[in-house]
Amino acid sequence: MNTDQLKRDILLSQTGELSPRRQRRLERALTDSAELRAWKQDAEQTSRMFRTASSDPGPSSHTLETISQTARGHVVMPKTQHPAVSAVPLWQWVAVAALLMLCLAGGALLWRGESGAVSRTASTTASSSTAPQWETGLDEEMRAWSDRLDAAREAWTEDALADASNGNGDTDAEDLARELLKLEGVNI
Amino acid sequence: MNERCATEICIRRYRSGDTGALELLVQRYKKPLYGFIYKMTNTRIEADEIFQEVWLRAIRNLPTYRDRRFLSWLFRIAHNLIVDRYRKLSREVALGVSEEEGDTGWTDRVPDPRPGPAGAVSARDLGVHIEQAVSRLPKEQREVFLLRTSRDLSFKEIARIQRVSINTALARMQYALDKLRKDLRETAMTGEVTP
Repeated sequence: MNTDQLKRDILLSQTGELSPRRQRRLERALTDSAELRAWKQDAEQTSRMFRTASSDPGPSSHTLETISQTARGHVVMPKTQHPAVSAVPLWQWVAVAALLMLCLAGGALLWRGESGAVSRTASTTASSSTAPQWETGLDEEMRAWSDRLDAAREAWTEDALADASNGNGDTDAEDLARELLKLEGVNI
Repeated sequence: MNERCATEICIRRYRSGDTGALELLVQRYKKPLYGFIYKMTNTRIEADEIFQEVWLRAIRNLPTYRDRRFLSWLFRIAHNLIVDRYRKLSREVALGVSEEEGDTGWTDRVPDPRPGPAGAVSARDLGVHIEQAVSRLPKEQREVFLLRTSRDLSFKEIARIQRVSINTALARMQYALDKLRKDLRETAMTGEVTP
């Protein structure tokens, strides 16, 4: 082991950070080497002299006052809980939460059961009748639209023919009206 | 009740809203912390500024503080601030700010700790000389020496503060001690002081 490493071991032994195995090796080295012993003595003496001589000045009163003001003005978030919250033990909170969960789960199951029954009833009713209600409604709607279309067409044809007989009709419209009437079996 | 226990109680009290507990912490740690900062900066004004900033940061971070050694944590904050200050000053030098002002570097702003002609005569005290010798050490070595010698921190803690390996911290301490011994021997030989 080199001298530098042994010197560092001396420093480590002063703080109690040296392992017992290396401590034993260091002690052997110190017994053997006068140079190492002198270095250890010098290091200890220098540190001791500095400790004795060193004087620690203090901070100014203005600095201390600024720190105190900051500490007073700083908002510390207290970890205190609301009395109502802190009065209830944790296990009771857990129990209430579990009970709520159970109620919710039960409610959900019940709702699903009822809606399933309703849908089953609806499908049974629909299959037993001739046609579903929505389909009947649609047919009626379509028929109404068809009637309205026919009435409009007839009105338009009559107007077009009347215009033609008066001599002020549109030729294309007149032809179209004749074609339509022909198709419907009416002779002009 | 030991020191750590008392500190933890103060921290708990501060966290629960008792701002007066922080003043107790400031009172307890102001001497070692300020002494360290002052010896690292060499000026009262800078030391006061950094000391104040350390506590302001501590106040901000105390609600989430989880360290085990409070003083070590404060030293770590101080170390970061001192390093930042040195970096800032070095940048100013690199940008030529100091040259414009007639300086040659940040070291010029720090008062020369060596005694002047009159001081050399009056400074016969070994304590003064050793303090001056320490202030002449390179910043990293000075920091390790101060933390170890006057603050009694372990090398593990010092390495953590400086964010280096234990071996680097040990090497810095070793070089610091070698330089101090050499410096003090030279001083003794020049007759400025008799150890």
